[in-house]
Amino acid sequence: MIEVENLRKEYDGLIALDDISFKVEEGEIFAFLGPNGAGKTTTINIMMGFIYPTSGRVRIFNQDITKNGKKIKKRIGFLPEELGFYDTLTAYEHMDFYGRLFGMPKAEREERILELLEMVGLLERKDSKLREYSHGMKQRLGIAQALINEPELLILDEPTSGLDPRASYEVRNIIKELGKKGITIFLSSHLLYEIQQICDTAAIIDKGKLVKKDSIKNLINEIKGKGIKVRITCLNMNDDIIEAIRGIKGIQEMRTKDNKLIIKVASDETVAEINSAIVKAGGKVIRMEELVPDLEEVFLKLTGRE
Amino acid sequence: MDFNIILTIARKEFYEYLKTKRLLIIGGLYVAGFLLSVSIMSYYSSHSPNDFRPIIANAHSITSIFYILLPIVLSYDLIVRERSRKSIYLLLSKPVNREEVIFGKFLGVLSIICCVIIPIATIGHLITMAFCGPVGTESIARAYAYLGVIILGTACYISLSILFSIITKSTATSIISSLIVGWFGLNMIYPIYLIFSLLAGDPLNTTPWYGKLAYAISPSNDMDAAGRILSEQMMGRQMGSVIPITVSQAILALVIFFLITFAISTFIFRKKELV
Repeated sequence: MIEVENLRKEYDGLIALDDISFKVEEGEIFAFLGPNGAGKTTTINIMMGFIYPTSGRVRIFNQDITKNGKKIKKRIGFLPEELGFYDTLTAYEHMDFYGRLFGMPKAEREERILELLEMVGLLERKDSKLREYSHGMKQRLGIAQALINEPELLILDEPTSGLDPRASYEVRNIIKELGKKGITIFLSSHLLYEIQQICDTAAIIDKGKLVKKDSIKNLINEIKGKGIKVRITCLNMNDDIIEAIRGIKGIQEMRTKDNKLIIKVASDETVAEINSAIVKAGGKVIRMEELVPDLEEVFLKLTGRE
Repeated sequence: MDFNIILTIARKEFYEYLKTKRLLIIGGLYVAGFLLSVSIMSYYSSHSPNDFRPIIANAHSITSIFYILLPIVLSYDLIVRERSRKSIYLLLSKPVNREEVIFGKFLGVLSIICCVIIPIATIGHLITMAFCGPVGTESIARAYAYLGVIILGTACYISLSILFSIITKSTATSIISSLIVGWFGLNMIYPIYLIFSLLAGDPLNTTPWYGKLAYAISPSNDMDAAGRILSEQMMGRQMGSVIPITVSQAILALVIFFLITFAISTFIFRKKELV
């Protein structure tokens, strides 16, 4: 659905994007992940035709964005990072304006506007001017306007940026629901927790370069490697316990803090041996849990910020 | 280009402007100035139908400053404000060409100016006729023809302001540039030419092509020159004989000015990176 090929963007000699290539398949919820200033918004701006690439190209629905922008945009919904509305217009007037730009007939437009405003919880405030809206309400209206044309592809740039936890939760739920409906979603974010909750696939970008692209599961498995990381909480922690564990074969790494041990081992059998060793050394295991790496660890490792 | 999209954008601009204070202030001053001057001149006229054309011409002449101010004040921020408030991203994420945005915004401002100027001019005509008696269809036709030229002149200033609103980065720079160039700069070219030709000892009874160009480059001058559609003798500008261009040349100059500034605006906006 989206093909980004060897995309490069320079601003006055500064390389904002350096030969980026990736594909987004139909129906995917794709995360575009990177720290602030990594080049996420620059990529999106090129995808939307707001800026032009120095070299390379973006194809959406098998069409070049620089040549067929208007055709492509008929099938896209877009939520920019920084939302700008017209303060003197109401939410309904905004939606009506955007609906008209898609050439929607009046009856269809009215029905769709009311349906979307209800979905984002703004139906009761539809006649309020945007200057009276909070940031969270504007963000929800942003999502509603992005859906006015029933898009096949939704491009969301930091959709929960600046929202309080409750509003973020609501926006995430809306995105999840849209994903279930089969809409392809391209989600740019630096919030790893958010992406892990919503997305199937992620591309990680850093300093203008694509670091990795894979399914979230594979990315996590890759960093997890072949070993198992466990956290053991035990009573009567002493040096004998630590020495006993160090003597076990298959221990890859070990850290201790207070009454907790974080150990990376080669297999499940080793975990059982650790348990026995602790008991023999006079300790008592009160909790043992596997530590599954999250996307944050993946990100930090891949971007060299570990 | 899709005309429905242009109309949608124009309609939005139109309704947005109806809610702005600047329209109320500048438009209100224009309305008051035009109607007051028409009323006073009509009251003190000889109450003859022959007074109709000079009165209307002079009323337009007195309020001519508004034919520069009104379009500039309404359009200096058309693009730069969309960019500063980031609404341009939502607008251009829809199936809209940049050319359609420019056309739509231009039409929106032009239509609001027409909605101010045409009814007020019509009321002015009626007031004058109330004092001077009914006038012939030719006078009415000339009055509206001149109004058409004025609207063309305002279109030139809208186009110029749109150009500045595209190339500048702030609303303040845009309005200052538009006013300096539109109001002051273009109007200074002909006086500068006159000074140089006087110093050079050129005869004043003939104007070479570059002298005419120096005059015609200002839409404000062109609107004055086209005032001869109505009357040769206009208050404050009883200098019909030294206006170096004809009415048709003035209209042609306005059309060319508009086309050039509009084409440059659309070209620059199409190429501009919106970051």
